[in-house]
Amino acid sequence: MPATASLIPVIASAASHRRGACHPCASFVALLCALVALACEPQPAATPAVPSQPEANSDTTHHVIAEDSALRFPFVPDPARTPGATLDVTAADICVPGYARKVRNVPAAVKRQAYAEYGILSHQPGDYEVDHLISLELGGSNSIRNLWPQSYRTHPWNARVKDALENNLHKRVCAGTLDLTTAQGVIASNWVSGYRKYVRPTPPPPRASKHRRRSTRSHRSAQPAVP
Amino acid sequence: MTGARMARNQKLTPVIAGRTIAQIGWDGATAILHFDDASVLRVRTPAPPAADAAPLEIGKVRAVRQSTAAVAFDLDDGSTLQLPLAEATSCVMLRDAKGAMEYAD
Repeated sequence: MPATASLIPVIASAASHRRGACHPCASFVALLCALVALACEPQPAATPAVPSQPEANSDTTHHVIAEDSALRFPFVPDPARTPGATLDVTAADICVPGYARKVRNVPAAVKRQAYAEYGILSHQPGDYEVDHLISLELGGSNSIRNLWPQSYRTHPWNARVKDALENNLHKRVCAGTLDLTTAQGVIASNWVSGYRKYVRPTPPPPRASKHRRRSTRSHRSAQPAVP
Repeated sequence: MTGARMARNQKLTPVIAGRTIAQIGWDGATAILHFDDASVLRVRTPAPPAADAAPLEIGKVRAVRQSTAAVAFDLDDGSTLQLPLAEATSCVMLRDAKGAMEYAD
């Protein structure tokens, strides 16, 4: 799918570049050449099938994508694979202390499926966690439609930063200042935008500490993320 | 995902062991197990039961086993109530008599 997706803009660009300036046959030949060139271009053998990353309204983010090879380390999920899914719960449910502990339940097989769906066939400790896109604390479910391998290694947007947004939204919902459905929509649509709106408008500074997240998270085998 | 192995559900078993399934109803494809303490467990299955399906076992729960494809309630009399799951997770939810969440997967 990503290979196809990456072809589409190139093909469109090749076609539009010549539109109106050349004979239709010339456009066809150019298009054919572009396709052949793409087909012959060597591709990394183990590149996972990971969706393209939105820029999240930030030049900094764009820069980071290139530097951190975000195609391998996604920091936002593919909405087709991970649209988000919720349990049939209310704010009254999720605001009870200990709620998330009662509903946290992702079998190893489902975790493996989450990695496989993003084309990640192997990874090192500290690369990812299997994240609930809509966090359990916001009524998210353990469905595969709500799970994705979230990177620890990307900066500034990574699993630790998303935690801050999750906690912020949970507090707002439980304080009655934000509707649960709205909070779920914020985090499911684009959590980076949600962070900018509800936590702070600028990306968080890099962490000096290498502390791991709490061990109650889905992915426990990871070690400190050290590039 | 076949989920052939039915492992003991270590989270749910201690919660409902000892409770008795008093009645089983259906809401479309969702099985609704009513326990004697008025707690209710809902299980999302792939499809509603057939009209001529045999009645499901009821009795006191001894243990719960689960795979990615089914959940099984082992009863004190040695019988088992087994229900297929609509998906690997996010199908089982238990609320107590007051409606408070006790368990969800």
